[in-house]
Amino acid sequence: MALNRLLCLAALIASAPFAAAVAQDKIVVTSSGGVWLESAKANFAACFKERTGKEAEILLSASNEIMQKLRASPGKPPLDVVVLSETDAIRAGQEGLLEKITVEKVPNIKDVPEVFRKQWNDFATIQNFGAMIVMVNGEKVPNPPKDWKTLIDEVAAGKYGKRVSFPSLTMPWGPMFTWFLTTLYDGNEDMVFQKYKAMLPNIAKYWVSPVEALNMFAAKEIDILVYWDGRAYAFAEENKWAKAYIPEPGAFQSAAMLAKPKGAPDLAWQYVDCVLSPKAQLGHAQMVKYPIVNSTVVYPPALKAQLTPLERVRQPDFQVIIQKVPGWLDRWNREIR
Amino acid sequence: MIRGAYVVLAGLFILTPLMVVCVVAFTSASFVSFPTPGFSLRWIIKVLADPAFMRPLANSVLLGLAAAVSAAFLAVPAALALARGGFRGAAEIEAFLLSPLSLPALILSIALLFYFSRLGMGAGFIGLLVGHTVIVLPYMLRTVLAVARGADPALEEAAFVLGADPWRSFLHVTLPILRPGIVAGALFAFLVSFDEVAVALLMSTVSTMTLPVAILNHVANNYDPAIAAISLIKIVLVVAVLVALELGFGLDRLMLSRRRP
Repeated sequence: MALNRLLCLAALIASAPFAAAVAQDKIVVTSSGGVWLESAKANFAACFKERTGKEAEILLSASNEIMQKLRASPGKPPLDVVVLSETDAIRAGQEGLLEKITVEKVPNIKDVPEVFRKQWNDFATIQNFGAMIVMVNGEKVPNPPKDWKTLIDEVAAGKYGKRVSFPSLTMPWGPMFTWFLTTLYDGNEDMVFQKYKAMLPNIAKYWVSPVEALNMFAAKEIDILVYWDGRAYAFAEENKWAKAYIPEPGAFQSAAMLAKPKGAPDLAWQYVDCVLSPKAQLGHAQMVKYPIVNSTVVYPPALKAQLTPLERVRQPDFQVIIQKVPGWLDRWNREIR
Repeated sequence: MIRGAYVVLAGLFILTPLMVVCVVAFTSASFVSFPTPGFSLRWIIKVLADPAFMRPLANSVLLGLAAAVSAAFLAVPAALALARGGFRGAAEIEAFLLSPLSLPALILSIALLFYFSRLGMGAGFIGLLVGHTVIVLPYMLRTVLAVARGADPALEEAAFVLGADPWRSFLHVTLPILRPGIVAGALFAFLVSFDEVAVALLMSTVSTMTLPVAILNHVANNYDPAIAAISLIKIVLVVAVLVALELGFGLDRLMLSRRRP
């Protein structure tokens, strides 16, 4: 009898989520956590609810996890709108996992400049972008070098001790940073790897986790950190000893790519259009401190001062990067790690 | 004396990182740092009021309990059959049932995702439960098997001689004998499931996200001490369960056979 009760209980527990799922009338979208999630709720999901009266459930998920889920269910995706990394968005488009964004389906796309969509063949669009810049402890490094090459040479020479952290090639945007460095050295990959190697004795850590990197800087274990601009400016705003700046000749553009998987309901286009709407875009920029892509948005002056202008960033050639990554990773693992 | 010092050192080695987590959970700072500049309950309050942590916490508890129960349903009959032996291939079957211990959970996770997608079910609670049952099954099997192999078969025979049918014999004789192994296995199973991240990463959905996945997502994008606060709550929860079991039933009584050598 007790066994029967246990079996019934187990069946009930197992079936409960199904019952909930059947009753759902909503779409599932993805986001990163923290302030990104808060912005997705406050700006994008709120706009979607206002337009359609329906909920957009937000799943916290990384790009590689999303790709596995899309590949597992081609044509019947478990996710209705996804945010992918730049290279994953290109791969997903090439693999037929995404639907093309058109002005008929997403009217606000007309205000998104082509540069934010072209490399992705309209299978995805940038929703916001950022740049990797330099954070310094202003008390320890009052006059940081003005350009990247000088910074790299001075780190290699040990001018700042072992109190510097650069991104690792193995982190998701590491290949883009490496591509950017090759542009500084006339496309010479060997030179870039020589520089990585020369800096190694004076690098506290080539960071993989952004949180770990910022924690090292916040705990004052390092004085120089190459990091994302939005979080760098936000951190500097809260901590007066910290400074953030863009070395010459600028930085590479990194972006969150917005896309609708093939097979997701047409209702999902409404969410995509909401993300690109002027009101939601401005709200998003104000919360996450990253530039957005709708060209009709006018930033308030205080916010504009905190955002990296488009003309200071270079958009990587992702097709080249996708081809180069395996070789770069192999070289990194052999020579640097 | 030396043994005592060794125990203290081993205890410190295990507890010191946990103590750091506990202290950081009460920091007043906006980022993780040790030593902390001041103390505050702000992060504990934030986490307790945040459904982004509390719902996954509830999911993890539910999943851990369900995985322990389903693993018991599979492991107990298997352990009895293996302990009594007498059939060809018993050793191979035992090795097969223990093999999830050597299977990378991420590989299992990807396989489950594609398998359930082909079945039209996709990610969800059933997939999570199946994945976690596979992962925790060896823990349950090992503990139940150890008790079953040490059990005296004469006790079951006595029950039959006294007129009990197989079901009554199982319920009133075999199951009480196996209870220490089942409880110990269920504890292991719950704790392993409660901490598991690889399967949950791909198999969870918005409504079934587990606490480790929520923590991982938070860590990937935030540098605040909320992680330390939720970790402290998790530690407190596990310790509270163990204390409640000790006070209510006695862990010795639950996990050790009454028949001492």
